Amino acid sequence: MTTLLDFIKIARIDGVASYCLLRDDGQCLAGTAMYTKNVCTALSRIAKRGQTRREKSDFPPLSGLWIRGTEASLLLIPMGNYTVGVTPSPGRPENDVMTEVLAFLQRIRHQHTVSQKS
Amino acid sequence: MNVIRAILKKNPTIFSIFVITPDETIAHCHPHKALLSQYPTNHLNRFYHDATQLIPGGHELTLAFETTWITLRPLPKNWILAIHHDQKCPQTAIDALQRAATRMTTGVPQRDLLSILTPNALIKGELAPWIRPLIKLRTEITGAPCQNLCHQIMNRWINREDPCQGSLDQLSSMLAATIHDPVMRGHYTEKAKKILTTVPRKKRGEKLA
Repeated sequence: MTTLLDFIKIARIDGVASYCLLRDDGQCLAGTAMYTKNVCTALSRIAKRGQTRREKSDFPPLSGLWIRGTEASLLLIPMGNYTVGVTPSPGRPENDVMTEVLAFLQRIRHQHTVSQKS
Repeated sequence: MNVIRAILKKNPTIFSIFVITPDETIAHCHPHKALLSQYPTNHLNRFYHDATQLIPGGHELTLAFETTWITLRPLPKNWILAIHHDQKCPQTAIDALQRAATRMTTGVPQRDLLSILTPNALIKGELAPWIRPLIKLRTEITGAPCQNLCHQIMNRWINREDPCQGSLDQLSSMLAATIHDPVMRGHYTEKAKKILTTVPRKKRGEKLA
């Protein structure tokens, strides 16, 4: 079964400067990013809003969204009742980091499925 | 508009662009493919501003849907530019579009912004003395109210032409093409010519230019 111990390996991905795992209510379950409770709540709300928008349309699923700032960017990946937030390392394209993070999340989900079957 | 059209022509990886006002009105600039119309654009302006304020200097929000993305960029007066594009779309094309849209919105007074982009403002603007009678004429001849249809036609006209007195005959032809009965269409075309060649009378007390 996938645990938080599996998830925190996200920090090993090249291009991930900091990360956080948020519950829908904004509770931070794990992470190295230093966000206040208010920011965490806002982040999960934004990710949820992005996802809800897509559900009302014929668009393919929302893989994620990113906000670009002057000094850093912030990636948000909605995953059911959770949101993964990642700050990419400086100079790394957000899309590349998102692809890597999505592949990582897929891998740990797959581990979960395999362990359930066995 | 011509600069924007040129950028879009050069970059087939851009599917559609649209401009959203702070009151979430969509001034649809260029629907290149039908995909964008399926995307719920409601409250996208607010969504952009809520999201970008979360990090210092936030100035771009991108929504990734598998291989296509929607990139939101700021415009003057809290308007936003939304670009639906392929992920392979070069960043320079998005920058160029933002610059062109910024110039377009900066150079025009706030009250006139919509007159470039939306049918409603055109109906109320300087071209009203011709546009209103044309729409009225079409309604009288076909006997059916056609507000939605006329708005669609005007949106197409805005996308193809720079709305001005010189391109009104294009709008009139587009309206005529929606009348299926050839007799009615002929009748419309004849009367429309008179409307287009009429110079609007000045109101009493108004100074002549």
